[in-house]
Amino acid sequence: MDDPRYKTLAYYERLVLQIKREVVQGVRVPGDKLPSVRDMAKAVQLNPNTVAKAYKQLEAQGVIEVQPGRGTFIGAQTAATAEEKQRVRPAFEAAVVSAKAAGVTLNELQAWLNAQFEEGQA
Amino acid sequence: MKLTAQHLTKTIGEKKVLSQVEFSWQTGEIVGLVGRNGAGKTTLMRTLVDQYHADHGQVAIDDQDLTAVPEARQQLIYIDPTEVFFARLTLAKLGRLYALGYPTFDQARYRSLLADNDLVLAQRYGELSKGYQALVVMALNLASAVPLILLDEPFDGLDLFIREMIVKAVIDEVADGQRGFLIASHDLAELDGLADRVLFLKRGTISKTVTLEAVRDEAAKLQLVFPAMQIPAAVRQYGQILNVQGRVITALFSPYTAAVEAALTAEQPVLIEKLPLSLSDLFRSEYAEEVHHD
Repeated sequence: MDDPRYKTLAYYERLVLQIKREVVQGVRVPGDKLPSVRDMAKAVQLNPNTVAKAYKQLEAQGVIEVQPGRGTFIGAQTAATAEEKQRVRPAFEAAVVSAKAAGVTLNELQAWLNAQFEEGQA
Repeated sequence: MKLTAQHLTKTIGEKKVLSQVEFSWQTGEIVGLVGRNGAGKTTLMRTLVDQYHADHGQVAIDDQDLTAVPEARQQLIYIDPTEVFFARLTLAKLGRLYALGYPTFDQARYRSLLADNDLVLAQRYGELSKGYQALVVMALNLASAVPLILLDEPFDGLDLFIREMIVKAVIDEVADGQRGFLIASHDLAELDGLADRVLFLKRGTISKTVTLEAVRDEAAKLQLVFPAMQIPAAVRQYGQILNVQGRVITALFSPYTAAVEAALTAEQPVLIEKLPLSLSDLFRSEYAEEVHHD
């Protein structure tokens, strides 16, 4: 939750990103059980409704799976659906436009992209 | 369960402390109550439980007017931390006393909450440190098993660990939707992630209600620098200036839409950067006009 890059986002979005990042880094692996909304809320000291909203978004995006009566689990990491890819594309395009407007070169952008990708795989 | 306050007005002496206060609050919700010193937060809490009789207006729980149906007040608890009548009582006696007022009071839970914090039933409330007194107040609130709980400055003067214990207790109680909290606090950082909504009390009335996650989604706090020394009209038109330091302008844009972004970009800013938006920023923007600069 403390990643400075996420500090301008709503708390539920920060939690979504944090969990995605933990999945990418292998801190949480498919099949891992996530804490209940109540326990996660206590752990990160956030309003339970905020945590529930984050879980709902993660579920809608296929990152986590709710198994009724058993709990919430990290989903099997299948390749992202075409739909999911379409969803993230506008944000990426907007970032590229802003970067170009700010005078960032293609080489610089590529370096950023590489660094960002490697972060998750280290 | 839902509490609704309508047109609440209270004059103390010559001063109209509350004027036409209206809000609602329900179980499953954590609602923050903020305002400057003397804005009327404690008076509002005392009026909600009829410790002060309102001059006008009404408080209802699920459409039961508390004046007409006083027993409905057993759904609501307020322990006034600054005016406790029970300083000389032992914690055991305190539990028996609250059980008289609240038929739902759970003695076993009260004892276990005290034991969790190494508190002994034979101790007198007034002999405890401030932190332990806060924990006893919380234990009474929780053991009463009341749906709607009012907390007045629950974090005031407490160390990090006791604050965390209280925050976790609030989260735990509210998580299954059976309880709700109304929390008056000057600790904006503590309320920031905790509250669903925050009521701003200003000159005795609720001047603004903010749903925090929605604001964080829609609004933006920006740091801006423009080539000209003058602040462009677009900044004042769409935003609220929080601070100006030389050429660096900090402003709040709510909502921050694509149109607002385009209007700002059209002024060719040298710098346009998003900053974290906190409850403190909203507080500053709401009360800025009340602060007199010399």
